[in-house]
Amino acid sequence: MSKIRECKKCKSNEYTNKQLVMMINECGHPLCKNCVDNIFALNSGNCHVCARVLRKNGFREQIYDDPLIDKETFLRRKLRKVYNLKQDDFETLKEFGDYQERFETLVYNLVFETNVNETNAEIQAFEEKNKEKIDRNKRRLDDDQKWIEDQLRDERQMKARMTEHMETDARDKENATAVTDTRKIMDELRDSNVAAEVILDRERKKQIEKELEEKEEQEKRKRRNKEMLQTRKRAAENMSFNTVIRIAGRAYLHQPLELVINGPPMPNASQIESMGYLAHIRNATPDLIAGGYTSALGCSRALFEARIDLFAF
Amino acid sequence: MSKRYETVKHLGEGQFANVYLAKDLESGEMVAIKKIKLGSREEAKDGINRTAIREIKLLKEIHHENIITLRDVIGHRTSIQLVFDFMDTDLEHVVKDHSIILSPAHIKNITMQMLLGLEFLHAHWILHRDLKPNNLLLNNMGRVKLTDFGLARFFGSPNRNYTHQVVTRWYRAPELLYGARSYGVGIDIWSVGCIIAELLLRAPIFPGESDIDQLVKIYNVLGCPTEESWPTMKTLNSYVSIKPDSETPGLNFIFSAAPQDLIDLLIGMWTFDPVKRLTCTQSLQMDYFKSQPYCCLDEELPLPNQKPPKRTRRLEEDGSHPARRLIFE
Amino acid sequence: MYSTSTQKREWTYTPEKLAAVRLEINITFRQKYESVMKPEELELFVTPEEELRMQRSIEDAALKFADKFRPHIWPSVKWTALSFFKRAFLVWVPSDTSIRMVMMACFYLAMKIDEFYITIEDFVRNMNVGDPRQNAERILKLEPELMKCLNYNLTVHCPYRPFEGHLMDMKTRMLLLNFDLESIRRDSMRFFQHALQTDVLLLYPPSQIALAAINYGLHAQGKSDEILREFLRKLIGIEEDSWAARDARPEDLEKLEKTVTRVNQILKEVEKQYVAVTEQERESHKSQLSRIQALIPELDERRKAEWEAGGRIGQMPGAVTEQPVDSDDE
Repeated sequence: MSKIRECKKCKSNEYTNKQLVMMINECGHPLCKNCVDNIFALNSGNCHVCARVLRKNGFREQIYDDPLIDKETFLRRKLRKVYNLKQDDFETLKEFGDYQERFETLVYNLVFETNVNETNAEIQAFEEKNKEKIDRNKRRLDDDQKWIEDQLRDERQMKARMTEHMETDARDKENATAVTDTRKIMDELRDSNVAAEVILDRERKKQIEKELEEKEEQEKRKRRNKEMLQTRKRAAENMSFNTVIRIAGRAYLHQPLELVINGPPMPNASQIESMGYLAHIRNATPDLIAGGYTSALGCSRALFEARIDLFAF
Repeated sequence: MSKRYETVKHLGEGQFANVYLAKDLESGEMVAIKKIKLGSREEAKDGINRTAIREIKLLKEIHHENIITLRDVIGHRTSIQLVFDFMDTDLEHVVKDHSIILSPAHIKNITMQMLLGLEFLHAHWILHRDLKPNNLLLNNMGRVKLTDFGLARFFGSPNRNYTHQVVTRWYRAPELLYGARSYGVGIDIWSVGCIIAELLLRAPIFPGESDIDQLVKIYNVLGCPTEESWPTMKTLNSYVSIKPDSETPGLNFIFSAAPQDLIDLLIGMWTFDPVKRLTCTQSLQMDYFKSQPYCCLDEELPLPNQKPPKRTRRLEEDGSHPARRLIFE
Repeated sequence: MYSTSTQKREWTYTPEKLAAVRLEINITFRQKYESVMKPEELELFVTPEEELRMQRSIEDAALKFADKFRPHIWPSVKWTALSFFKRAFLVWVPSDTSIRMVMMACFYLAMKIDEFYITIEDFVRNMNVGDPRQNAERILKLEPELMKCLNYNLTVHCPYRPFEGHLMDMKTRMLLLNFDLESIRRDSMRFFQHALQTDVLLLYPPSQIALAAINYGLHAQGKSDEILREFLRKLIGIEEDSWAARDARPEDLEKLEKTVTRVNQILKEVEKQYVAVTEQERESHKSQLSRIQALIPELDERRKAEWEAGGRIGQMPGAVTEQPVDSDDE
């Protein structure tokens, strides 16, 4: 079900190479990291598919299964460096809208490589014409970025405050006990009949005990932190592949969930019927069907579980 | 309770458990702790109660952004404590708070999040069996999560009998009301339809007072199932023929403000024959999610007793978007 | 889904890792008491191998218990219970627990997990040793401890459903077989029964164990591995025709070979590890365990005395119960 990521050049894939990292450049033809290192050892070379001249430092890790999306993201980012005008750079809202729309067209042209020359010419012309504004905007953060920075700063300050608070607390406590302890021991040494060695010995033992305790506490904390990290990592690993990110403000195209089967491909609902699977499972009685249980349902669960990790070695 | 978590306040008491708001002293985050009592009380005479066991057994295996996370389980001599994400409110509160205005974009967002969580669950062969507004939690990031897995279980076994006494009555599918012993994903989808309707109407759509009355309430809105629309219905255990009280006004009349694609979604979710009812994946592929108004940002969802969020911004469609989501969620 | 399960993540091992874990808990237990034991008492310690044999003999008895259980339980309850049991003794040591009671608690919990409804009274009615009320009390007391020891990982993926899946796939895709595939079922079920008394469920995915059961059944019908191979070729999509097969993708051929090797490895593992336990052996295990268990309270006393004599440094031994509190001499 899940598409296996594979390098078209050297044919290594996720299963043969667990550390497979796919890279992508501006032309949108993915290549694995090993191939990039080999082919672009001299920093520039030709794309193995379209022969475009590429630079090694133009390669980035491929994030999406569909290389087109990566290509689009890349081009958008690149283009946004030039097309960074804000709403207040325009006289009317309509002009701003037109500008945004034009931007989309340019991205589309570049992604699908239509009218590339004209498009590039247009971009260059735009850049020259608006040079001043573009430079100014480069230095200016937009509202979103400002918001993000604010949040991050608040968070950092909060953390600092908390650490400081906790440290003061701990220090106070330590001082208090140390002072009273010494005073108590002095009193005892002066007033009691017990030999000084015994008292000091006892105090030494107490001290050792306390140190042991602290050490243990520290160990525990370390262990817990490690566990926490692992849990997070696991949670991340557990997410099924669902590369579609819900995005507000546009039509949502749903891709069915892709589960990692790691076994032979799962027949779909119509194949289960046409291949004759249902002849080999007890027919669901009408009252089961009336409730929504069909033979095909039981059948697909059994076939599903028979496939999960069948090829995990 | 435990050294790691500091109880802040008591949130509520159930039959088997107390729920507390607590602070995770290690991460500083707020969490909800469900404390299941052990001991020799009458309810616990067979040991740890099954609903708690179901929650632990299933939630330990499932990780999805629209499903509540079981962060930790703490075993104690006298109790078992389940540590969950803290969520600010639930959809029942949202529906009942009339100072909240739910726009079509809000409803689309909630519906989508609900379906994405449920799709994940169904893909792992788990039925929730108790979907209702109060089991859909909402946090201040606008994230919707399915919760309460006390009735949830694996499905797709041919020989097992399932009880039909599941799902709170108002959200119960007709096959369950007719005593079906075996069922599939349809029962959850039916409930989702009821929840969407409740978001639109701000009141339950089928508030039945008994099982029979429940069917009457359904048929008053949708008309009666026929031999054609649900050929097998008469084989169900407690099938009875029921006549509606009145003419059905039609969904377009009841949801006069709803667009046709939303009505189509509801019709698909309320198909009488569970075999023909929409699945989660099919629902998510309906036109409703492709049409305007598009669904809003999660953080734009309204919460009860709160000033409208300061930050209402349209999404700028540049490549930095996914990264930004990662930072905040 | 097994591939993202706690079963795969936390409770599936390599044979080496499994042996290492068992050795480690054995040594930890030994170290805890060694210093306070008299020379003649040291022989009460058992080796990890002996401990494993003791587990096997309890498993053997438990399977008999399961088959006699009324109302009838479905096979997945057995599989779940024995998985719990094997996992528990990667944390606990048999010398320090009532291993038999732990097994009963595993069954009771497994029934809840598998939605098999039974009250504790009906459950203990099936036990033929001990007083029903005491048995019930001890099982219920163990239940939360067992769950904790299992790290609350309670979903167990059994091979029975994958077995049905494989069988259905075979019946659908291998139309030209000259025998009835249903004829392998009895032998395959016997294979599962034997596999339950081995480590395979801590080592391999259920889909592979299920395929091994299929192959075991085929062998019992006098069939060679060729049927398995052909089945896998069809599943993977490799052409049967030997000329066309030359064009098969190398990774597909590799999958085929690896699966066949794995299946036979599981068969061998079960054959090697499965040993029928004699009544005599069971008795000797019982007495051996009861001797060390009888001594443990005294050993704990001695450890406490040693701690006091040593100036009470560190935590008092036994202040935290590291082991289940239940023991056979209550």
